[in-house]
Amino acid sequence: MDLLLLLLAPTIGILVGLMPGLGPVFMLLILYPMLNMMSPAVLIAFYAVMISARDFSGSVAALCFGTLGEVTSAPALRERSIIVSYSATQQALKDTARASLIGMAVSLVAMLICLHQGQAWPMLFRTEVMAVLLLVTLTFVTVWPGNRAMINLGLIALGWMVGSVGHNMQTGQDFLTLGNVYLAGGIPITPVILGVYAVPTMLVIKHQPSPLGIAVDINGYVQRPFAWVAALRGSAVGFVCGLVPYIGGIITSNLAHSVESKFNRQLSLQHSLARLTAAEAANNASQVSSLIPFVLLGLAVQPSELVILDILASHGWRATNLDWNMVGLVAVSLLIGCVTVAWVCSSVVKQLLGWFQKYYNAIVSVLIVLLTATVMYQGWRSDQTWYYMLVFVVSGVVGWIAAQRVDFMPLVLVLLLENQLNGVINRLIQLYS
Amino acid sequence: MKSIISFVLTTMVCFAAWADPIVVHIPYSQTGNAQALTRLLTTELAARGWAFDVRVTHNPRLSQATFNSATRPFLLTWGNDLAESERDPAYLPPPSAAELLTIVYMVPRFTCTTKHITKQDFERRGASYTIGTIVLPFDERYILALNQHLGTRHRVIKYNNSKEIELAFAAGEVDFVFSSIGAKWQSQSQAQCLYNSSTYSVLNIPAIQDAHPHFEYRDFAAVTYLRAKNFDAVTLERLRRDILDVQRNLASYVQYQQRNFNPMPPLTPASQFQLVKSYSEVTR
Repeated sequence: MDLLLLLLAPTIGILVGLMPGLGPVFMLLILYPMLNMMSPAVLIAFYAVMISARDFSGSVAALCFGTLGEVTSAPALRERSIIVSYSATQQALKDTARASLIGMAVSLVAMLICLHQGQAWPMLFRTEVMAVLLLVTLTFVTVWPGNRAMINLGLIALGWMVGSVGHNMQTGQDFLTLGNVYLAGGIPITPVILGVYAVPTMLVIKHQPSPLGIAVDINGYVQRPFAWVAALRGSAVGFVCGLVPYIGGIITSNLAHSVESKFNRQLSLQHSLARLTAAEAANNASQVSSLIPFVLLGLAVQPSELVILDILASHGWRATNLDWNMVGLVAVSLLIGCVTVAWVCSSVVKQLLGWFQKYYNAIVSVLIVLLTATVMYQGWRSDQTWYYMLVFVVSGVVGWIAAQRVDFMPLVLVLLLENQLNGVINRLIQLYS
Repeated sequence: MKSIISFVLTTMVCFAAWADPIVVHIPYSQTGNAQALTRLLTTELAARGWAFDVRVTHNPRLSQATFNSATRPFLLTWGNDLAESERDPAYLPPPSAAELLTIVYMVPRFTCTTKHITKQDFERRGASYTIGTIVLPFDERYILALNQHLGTRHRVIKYNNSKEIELAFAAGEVDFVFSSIGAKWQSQSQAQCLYNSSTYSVLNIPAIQDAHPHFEYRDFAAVTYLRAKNFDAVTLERLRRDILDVQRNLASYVQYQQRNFNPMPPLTPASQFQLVKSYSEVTR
């Protein structure tokens, strides 16, 4: 099962990159029950491959169709008009693939060095460090762009409250259980998240027109030398950006594109390809470097990593469990995954996008059915089927009613963080009282 | 004739078990030792003809209520560290000899340090060190009782699980840990353990009972067991025999215990009952 899901990671990443609105957090939430069955090492490898595949395929969609699947693909969209005017889409796709591989490889080497050195700094595991990082996370959640700050604060409070329902082992007290044995065990996270966030988002996507109805142009072929220097510059920018919590992954390609514009200013094809190359290399480099705090400290610097961290924590995995077998598996998987994605996107991109266009609605419908089945299965496994379904339906109704006005992501993130947050607060009080 | 009757009875028991699986409730987490070891045992028993429907609820109160209201054969994985006293709404009194099926595993706590603090320093009257424990009420109660016994002022820092304690231990956030993970650290020469909370020998860590025979909790381990309900005496006896046989001979079960430095539980019903009874009295 582990191996099968790992093999599927490039395909899932491509799907996320090609379908607008289907972000990585969302995809991970859909896959939550399956990911729960993975071993920690495979889960991290799966995540790394999926995110790299998403970045690359997002740029493919932007170059071929002019659609913005991911914010990180904005530079590709900006260069598209120049590339299309020279009929150089195929060359651009090849350069994009090479740049992704270089960015990933450069960052991978740097990551291995950092991980080796990082283990000599055990004080990074202290509660105070975690508290600061959680504070930074909460600050970013407070200014989450989907809502006004006051709504975000309300969602944070609501997320904390929902997460705190149940018997508290620290205090020995019940919180909002109303004497109910099901509530005493807490409100299950998966049905809430899938109900309040995933299903309403899918329904919104389902009612949107298919986004891929623009003609494909990948037949033109113009040969230009590959911009190696731009790729290395982009990799360096991406590596640093990936370490910046929460915004690093979003700004990286745009920043690398801006930096490269200083060196390659012209509107010529050669300069355009160089800028695109730098942005792509940065994209993949940042995805790898964002794994450093994640693997070394168990710290999520992207919302999608929070989902992975939550699963890892439920498996009892902590950063101290880091071993070189795990790092090796992630590195090898990344290499194989990126090569696979590059091959898939360059050879069957036309058919793949045609398939998505044709079955767009059906794919979304199947995913909704899968979500419901997932909740039922999780409930059945814990002998709480009806309770799980009730939570799922109530959350779904709330999510659907409020979907047009409120982005529930802050609630989702706080719900995932709640256990860690409460633990850190209690420990700080115990350490300093 | 005897063997024919025995064969017929066995077939009937196995068929009955296959036809109507025994429900097993595990109110622990989806990934902890309790579910891993219970599953190991039930999987092996399934190969011998028994049928189980295993549910991991992660909710002691739900499992307690389901156990109390069960009308069909039911097994509950329970422990003396789960709901320790009558004050806890999820409390279940220790099982009777007839109810106890087997001990799944037992885990002593080890008091260990990475900071080269000596036993004399630790026991010095008025000494104050931080001790990391898991967030279970008894662990805190144990340290407070130790403070009272030694005249020390050690402070308890509570962590959600043993992995979090390990992280804090590695970071030097706490001076000591009172946890099962200590044995692993000592085996890797990364820590020095002053006491073993039980009298079961693990890595020659001294039992606290030897140093402090009058300490209130001089012999304690968390013990997790299977308790049975709604079984007829013949079926239960057969199940007990099979499960003890599995515990004796299943290599993966024995290796799991060794890997985690858990002492092997006694494998006779009478001694198991005594052990569960005495350790449940300690935590009550």
